[in-house]
Amino acid sequence: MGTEAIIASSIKPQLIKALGRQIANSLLTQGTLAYVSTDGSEKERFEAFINSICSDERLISVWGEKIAAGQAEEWKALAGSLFNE
Amino acid sequence: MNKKLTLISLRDYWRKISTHRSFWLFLVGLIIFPHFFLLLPYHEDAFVKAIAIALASCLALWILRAQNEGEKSHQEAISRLETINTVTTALTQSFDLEHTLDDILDEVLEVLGVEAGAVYLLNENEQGLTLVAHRNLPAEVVEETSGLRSARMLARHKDFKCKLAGPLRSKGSINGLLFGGSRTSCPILRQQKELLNTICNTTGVFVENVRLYQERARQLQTERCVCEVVEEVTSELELDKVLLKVTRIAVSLVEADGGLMALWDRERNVITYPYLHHLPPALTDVTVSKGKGLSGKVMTTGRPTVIDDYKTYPGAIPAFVQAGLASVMAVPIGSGERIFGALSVLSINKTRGFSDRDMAILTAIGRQAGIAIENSYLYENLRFYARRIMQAQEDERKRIARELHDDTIQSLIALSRRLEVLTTSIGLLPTDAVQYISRLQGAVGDMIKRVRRFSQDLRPPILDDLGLLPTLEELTEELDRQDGLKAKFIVVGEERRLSSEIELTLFRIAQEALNNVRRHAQANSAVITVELSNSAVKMTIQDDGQGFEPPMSTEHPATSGKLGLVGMQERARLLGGTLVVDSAPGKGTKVIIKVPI
Repeated sequence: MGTEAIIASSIKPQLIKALGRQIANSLLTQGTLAYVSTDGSEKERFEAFINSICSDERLISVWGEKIAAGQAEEWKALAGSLFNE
Repeated sequence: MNKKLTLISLRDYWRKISTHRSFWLFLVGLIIFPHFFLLLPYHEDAFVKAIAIALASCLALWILRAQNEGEKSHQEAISRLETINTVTTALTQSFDLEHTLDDILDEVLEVLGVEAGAVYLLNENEQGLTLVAHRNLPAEVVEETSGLRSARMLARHKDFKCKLAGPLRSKGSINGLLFGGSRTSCPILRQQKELLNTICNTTGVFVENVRLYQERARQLQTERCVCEVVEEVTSELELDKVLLKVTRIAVSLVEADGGLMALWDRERNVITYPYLHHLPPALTDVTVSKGKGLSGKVMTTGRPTVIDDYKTYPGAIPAFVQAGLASVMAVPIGSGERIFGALSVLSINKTRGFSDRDMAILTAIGRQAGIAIENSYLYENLRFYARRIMQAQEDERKRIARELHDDTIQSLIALSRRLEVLTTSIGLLPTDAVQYISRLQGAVGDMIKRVRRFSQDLRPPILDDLGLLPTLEELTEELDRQDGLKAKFIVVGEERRLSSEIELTLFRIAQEALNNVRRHAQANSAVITVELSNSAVKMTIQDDGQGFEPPMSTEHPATSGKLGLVGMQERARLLGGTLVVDSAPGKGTKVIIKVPI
């Protein structure tokens, strides 16, 4: 499973479910800007993507800081296996 | 002059050869080796001297190199400044976002020393990126339909050995992305990154400015369209036309694929969809019960609602899903506390987002549509009351006419008979009295004629008994007989009776028009033509009189001073018909009335 597959199958649906399509798209855009602007390995870029999304106030206001941080770790772990392959 | 030229040439030559390291090595060798091998008798001295000279030469070489590098970095700084200048100039030349970004991209890539690049812009609703300019990108990146995926794909693409990416910023927020990449390995210097940041910031401000300009232009366009809606609502009384146009304008303003208006059908107690734009006409047959569907929900709650994906919406109507409705935004149509329906704009087959601005525009239009419907109801009520008043007036006229005919005229006839008896009773009265009574009898006779005519004008019995056409014929003959006008009556089409309301209205209009001919036109002839078809009746009253300048509008009788015309117009309108007055000074007058049957 590649980065795009993780985004499409796990991150995007969960964001839409929590915040609706409009805000979810906004967060994914924000994450992509962080991803592209990060100078480093794919792992570092993906982490920047996740951090950008999970640190957003709109998401934290719905999930709370703890769940947002947990979810970020879960997504990073999901991608971790990918980068170790 | 020649001397000066020679000096300049020598200086240039010196500058040229002095930059070559081999020249200096040659010079050092030329000094050291003769000393070392030939000239000095003591080889130790020669060695020390040679080392000293070599060290001095190295120092000179180091200074020279430092000078060269300084020169080079100075040149590079100038080049960067020139690029910034070029980019800034290009960015201030136009408000055409995509062309300008495409124009500056080559310049930026050249100065960054990379051959591939791209500019992505954040969509205005902050939902996704759009690739607006690119050079030498892999085909799959360009062909990717999602801007977000395309940007991520580019960032991790293996073809690029070195990559540079910077966000376009303005007022602290990001509005796009500039990417540069090279397929060959290239060290990325600090200066390159700084240059990229500067260009990104300048471009970010440019994008912000263009967006503000575009927003302003859109606002103006919105204001124009809302004004158009307001004008339409206030100038057009035909509700169908107004609401169809309102739906069309709403779709165009929100840049949607289509739109529809749902209204509450009070008679059938259902919601109908009578006004559609860019949707299959068969959807007008769809009806849903109160509170059902998205429109029903909006009409119940009175709150605007956006559905991102209509297919998954629990209240989706199957016919609309089949028509391809994807994303829908619906607002209530109301005036004050009353809600008449819902106005929706939508995307077809592809989901999209609706911004707060879209919602504000649609809500404003929904309110105007509500005012149009309210106006229409008020107008309908007004017409209803006007008809009732006119009917009551006609009934009263009929009663008075009958009263005059059956009572007043009969009494006057009886009085006339008695006076006649008196005048014929020979020897009963003196001659003077007989003559006096005879004059009285004449006066009573005139009175009978006048009352009879008045009664006829109030309500000719022939109209109820024989209908419009014989009445108009009678009216024409009377004009000929009493006013000396050459009057003519023409009927085109199959002669038949019409509804009493239409007959009465056309008679009253003809009566008023002929009164005008008699009183004001100074005409020699007049023609009344009635054309009967299956769907309408058209009546034309034409004279060859002095004519007049018809008022521009009969809507303001007090200002135009043509109350008779207003009355005629109003009568025609109450039957859903039209009345046109065609006249000009010296050109006669033509009044054309068309009423649907």
